[in-house]
Amino acid sequence: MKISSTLLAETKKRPRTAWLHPARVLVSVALVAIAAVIVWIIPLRPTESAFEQRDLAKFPAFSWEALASGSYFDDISLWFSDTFPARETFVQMSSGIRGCFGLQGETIHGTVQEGDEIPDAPTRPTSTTTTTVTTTTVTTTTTTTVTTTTSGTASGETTTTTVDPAVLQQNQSLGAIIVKGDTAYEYYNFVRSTADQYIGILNRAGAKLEGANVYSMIVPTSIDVMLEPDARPTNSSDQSKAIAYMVGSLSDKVTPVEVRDALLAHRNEYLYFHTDHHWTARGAYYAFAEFARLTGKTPPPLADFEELAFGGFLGSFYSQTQNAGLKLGGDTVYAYKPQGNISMVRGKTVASAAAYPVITDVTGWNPRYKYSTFIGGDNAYSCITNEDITDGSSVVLIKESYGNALAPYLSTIYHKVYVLDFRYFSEDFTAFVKNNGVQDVLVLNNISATRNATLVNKLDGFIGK
Amino acid sequence: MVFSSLFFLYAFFPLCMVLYALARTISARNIILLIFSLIFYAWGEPVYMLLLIGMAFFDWLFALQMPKGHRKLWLVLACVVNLGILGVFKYLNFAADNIAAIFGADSPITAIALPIGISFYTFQLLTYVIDVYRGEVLAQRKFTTILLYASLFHQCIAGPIVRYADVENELTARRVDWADVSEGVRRFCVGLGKKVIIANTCGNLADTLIAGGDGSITLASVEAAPAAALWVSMLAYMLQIYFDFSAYSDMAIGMGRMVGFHYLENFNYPYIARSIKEFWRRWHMSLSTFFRDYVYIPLGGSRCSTGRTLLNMLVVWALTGLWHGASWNFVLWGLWFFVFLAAETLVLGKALKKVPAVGMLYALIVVYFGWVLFRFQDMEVIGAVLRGMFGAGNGGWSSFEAATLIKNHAFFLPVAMVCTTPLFAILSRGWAQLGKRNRVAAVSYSVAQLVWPLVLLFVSTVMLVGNSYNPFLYFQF
Repeated sequence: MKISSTLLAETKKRPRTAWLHPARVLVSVALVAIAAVIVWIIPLRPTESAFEQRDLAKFPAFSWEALASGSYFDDISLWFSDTFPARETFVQMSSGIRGCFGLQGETIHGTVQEGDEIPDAPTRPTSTTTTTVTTTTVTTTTTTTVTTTTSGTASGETTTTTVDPAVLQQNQSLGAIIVKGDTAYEYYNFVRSTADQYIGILNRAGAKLEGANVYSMIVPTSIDVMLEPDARPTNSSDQSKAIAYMVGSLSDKVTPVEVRDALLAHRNEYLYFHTDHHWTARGAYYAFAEFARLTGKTPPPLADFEELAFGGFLGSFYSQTQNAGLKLGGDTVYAYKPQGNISMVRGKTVASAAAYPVITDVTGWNPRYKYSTFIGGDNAYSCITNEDITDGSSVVLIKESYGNALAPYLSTIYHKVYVLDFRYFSEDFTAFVKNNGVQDVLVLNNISATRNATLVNKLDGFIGK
Repeated sequence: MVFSSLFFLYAFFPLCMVLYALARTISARNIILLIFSLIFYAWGEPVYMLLLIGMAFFDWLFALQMPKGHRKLWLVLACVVNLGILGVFKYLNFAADNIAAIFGADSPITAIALPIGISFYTFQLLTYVIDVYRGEVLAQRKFTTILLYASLFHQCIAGPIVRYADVENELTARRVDWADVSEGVRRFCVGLGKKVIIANTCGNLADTLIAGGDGSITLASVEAAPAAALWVSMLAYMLQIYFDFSAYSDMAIGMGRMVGFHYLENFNYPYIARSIKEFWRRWHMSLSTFFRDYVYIPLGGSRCSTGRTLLNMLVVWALTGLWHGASWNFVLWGLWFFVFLAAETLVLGKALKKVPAVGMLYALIVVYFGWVLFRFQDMEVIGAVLRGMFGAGNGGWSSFEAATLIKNHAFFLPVAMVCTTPLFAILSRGWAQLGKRNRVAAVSYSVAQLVWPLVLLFVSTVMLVGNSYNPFLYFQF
């Protein structure tokens, strides 16, 4: 009887956790209700992603066909998740969570593609176009003043057109990326067919441009230059061998500008960005110096340029990986502004080109777009004129974004520097070279572009049959 | 639509629950659930929604005729319609391909798309008509109730396979209290976390380790994968398929609890089983129960000669394999288990009971290699995976990329493996017991129980926004 009474008392006694169920229900309902209201506040929904450089999904247009196929509802779901309020914050938090899953000293992003076997380099015919090769050592001591500007244009020139960051820096198709600490490197996989197509295009350009000197500069990427061979991933193709193969396949109408050794000689310097697939202006300078010497000109030392620094750059490697280590390290874009009576126009066509700074002050810009400091980003056509050089010399630089960092240097050795982005320039390239009496043509790409079928096809169309 | 989509979490489900809570009668609530269920199904399969409604209509009609006489005729008709439709949509291509292959011709049939969830709702409807035939439940007079039973979005497209008898009463009269809703919330959030945090990560790892340059898994990519990548990829797949499927069941059970349905459990820590027989008592229990009650026992079960019992088992496991997909690898997968179940019935069973640790290891190994058969439909790929695992492939034993990926998941994989065991549930129960004697333990337990599901919901939301990799594996069945 006594036991029964005790049990009854215990049963009747309110358990200490009795509040849990109502509390859990009320808190959950409140939080989900708040979230469910917030997500429908359309102005809070982003429409584009700066880091991914793309427009986010749009609410689908209704059609009976789309409804019947189910794609209408699928697209609504896609729009809902793709434009979720505070999306970029969540994406970065998600990356942070995944970073706790294991040892993150090295991470690989994207799928590694195995490269084709690289043939031995063919013996190239002796060049007939190469001018005197000088071996002057370039002084690279940087005693320049660092000018970190806070507003306006660093060059002091007048900006005459509205800046459209989405145009300034276009998307780049990247291969797999390996992140080591605060630095990322892009895998390179040699693709025989694309490399052969690339060489074929260059040889065709050499044949078409009789009277002009055609140069080819294939720039190795950071995985080749900055990592010791034993630290490189085994599945990244040998860039040295690939460049040798492509150089060896060039006709005698095209002169190779070999920059790999020059970059390797300075590999302890800041030659490549840690968070972006481009090289820095310093890396570009050493390549420029090689080119200048090859053409018989003397490159001015880097100290002759005004150094500008724009911190807080987070480039394409960061966009692609959202890696916390990359964000922590970040990058600084150093730009070297050529001194003298130098001006630039740029635009979608030659006729519509308008004045723009050679080096733009990108302080305060979105961290993703700071590489656009060089020649106003990716424009179809740019022309830099150095009025201090009066010999009538001119060069055409054919490039995608990789060439932007090198273009300003050319204005120190040529009167006219025409910069044509082969992805967007739609006018007749051969006629352009002939009509402007251009002496030198430099085709500049990083090695990654030579395995990118889309880019190589664009170059193919640009050079023409 | 999938449960682990942001649209479901922050639009569809909250709206459904708000309207459900505002409705005053069970009829109104059922109509709301039905409308939302049809929208849920139509979201992915607008046209095949008519097939679902049609099948539910015929089964409702046939069952309604049974009490009037010719019960067997109506049952046979129902089975012919249900299994016929399932056969056409799921197995006709497979059959035509194989017959054509025998005669060296091209298949005469154009590929037929598989309606989402057809294997699940067909079996659910079969339990209804068979149970009415057996007199275990009464025929339901209202068509909308049968349609709600078949289409209820909690379990319509990926289970668990809910027997009509188990929810018969709750379809027409149910009540919920704070504990029901609270437990439903907890269960749903746990399922969501299992799916988004664990299953999706495992899936990504499993695929990335052995995929080729274009991200797809092919014979060439598997042949080039090193042994370490293959072993860990299959481990990750083994974890993915458990967390993916059991998560869906958790979410279904949780949503059911929130509105007063009590669906039976579908998983019970299958990877701690000490035999294959026990594994199948813990894995996809609603399917095993279906085949036991509607195929194995009617065939005579184990209460007959050893030969006949083995034949019954062979039929059940061939069908279990085929249910998972119209492909020979699934049949092989079913027969793989039959071999070990038969061995346990004849010889191994008693021995395994004596040494549970050995039994557990044995079961894990059998299940692990079973997933190799399950994962790849191409027999050549299966062969390449098995060869590669033992160093006979082209990829060697390891690679820089494989080692890096494995290191990147060095904390995740062991935690995921621990989560397949009841360790956390045991610790939680211990904490709750301590709370009965200790005030601090009671309060901390309650706070943890309050916060933990919300943390899972938040983290899952973050990862859903940040991660586009979100397939539900069991949709293909």
